[in-house]
Amino acid sequence: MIPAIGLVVGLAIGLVLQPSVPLWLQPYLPIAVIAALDAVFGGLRAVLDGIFDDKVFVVSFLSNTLVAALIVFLGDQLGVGAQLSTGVVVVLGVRIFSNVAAIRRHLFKA
Amino acid sequence: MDHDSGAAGSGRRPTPERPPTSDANQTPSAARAPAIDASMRLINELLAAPLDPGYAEAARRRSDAAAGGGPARSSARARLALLVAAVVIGLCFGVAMTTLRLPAQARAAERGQLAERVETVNAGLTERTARVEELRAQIGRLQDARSDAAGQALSDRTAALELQSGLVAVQGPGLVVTLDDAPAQPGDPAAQEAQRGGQFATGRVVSRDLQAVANALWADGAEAIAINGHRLTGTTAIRFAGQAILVGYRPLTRPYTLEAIGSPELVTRFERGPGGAYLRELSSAYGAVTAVKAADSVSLPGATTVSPRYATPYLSTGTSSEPTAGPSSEPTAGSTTAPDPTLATARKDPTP
Repeated sequence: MIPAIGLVVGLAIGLVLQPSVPLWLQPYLPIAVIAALDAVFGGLRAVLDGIFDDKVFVVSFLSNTLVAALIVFLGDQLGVGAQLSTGVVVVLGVRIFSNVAAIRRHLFKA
Repeated sequence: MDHDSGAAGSGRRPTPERPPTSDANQTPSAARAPAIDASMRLINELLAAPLDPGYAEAARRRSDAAAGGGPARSSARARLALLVAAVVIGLCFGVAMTTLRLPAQARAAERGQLAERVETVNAGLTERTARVEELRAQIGRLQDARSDAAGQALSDRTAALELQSGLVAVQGPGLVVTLDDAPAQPGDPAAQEAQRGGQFATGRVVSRDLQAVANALWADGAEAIAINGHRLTGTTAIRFAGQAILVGYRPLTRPYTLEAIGSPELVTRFERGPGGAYLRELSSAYGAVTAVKAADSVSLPGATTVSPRYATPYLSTGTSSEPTAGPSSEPTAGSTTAPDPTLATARKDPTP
């Protein structure tokens, strides 16, 4: 319940206030969104599996976002930012797909 | 796409990543799970274990603690952290929605504005060119209207100078030179690459070719030249920007047509001279499409701008107090070295 409320509140804040993202942060925004999506679906699946844990959720989200941002930053410095961004998106995308598949099996038994 | 079934029953992981209560990996399709290949380990791991092992770990710890009689549920601090993380995630989505979608619209709007400005400016340019023609015709009429001798001399002088400088539309016999890029062979990768805006194709007409042909025409005695309807004057530049050819800073599109006015021998002189040789070289070595043909009457437009930036009319002391007489006094700078002030074949176009 808490995560759902928090999610809605955060979404509302973001949409209403429309804070301007500083330019240096903008390359990381898509990555942050993908990492957040991954955390959300991972958490949802854990809830359905009955093994959801607050600490694991928070830590996994933070660490995933940080590592993804770090990889992108490193890629930018090395001149392969686009490729590493793609790598991050692919890895997190695969995780998202599998988690959604698990969630689907839970919900629809199919 | 039952990724979970890949790990089901494989038992290659020493630590159980899922608690016994979870039924996520007991899927009916476990029987047709592909055999785990060592070379596919990374992919399998990626596809089969998308859930953080941390959840399973925490669940195991929790069940251990419950069995040992410890505290079963998470603390208030963990819940607060969860709330904060959820808000941050929501914020991420919200900000991304507003930030990442706006630039595309902004870019499209900017692009539209730029295109609009270009169109407006182009329309203004056409309008002003027409106005220049109109004013020039008016000046001509007014000069003709001065019937006294000084006025007559002035207008004759001006007409001759205008004709030489390329300011008025002219017509006369001459020739038309057509130049075009080599036709692209469908199987030629270099040409296709060039068409996508890559490197220069060898069969492409470049500004240097037009320069060479125009210079050859001048050298062979052409009295007036226009490229694709842009009149060349003494200061018109033929240059390139990227892959586009500019004449007088106006971009041209292929094919390129050079119209020149000159004596009837101009055609033979051009074809036998370096210009014709250059064209033949272009077409034989690079496959460029070239054509030279004589024309009984060629009409060339006048140049729109001849604006010397540094040169000013030289006025001798006797006439400097009388501005109207200025141009009629001998301009010592230019005309003393000019070979022949009268043009033999080019005549002022009576229908400007």
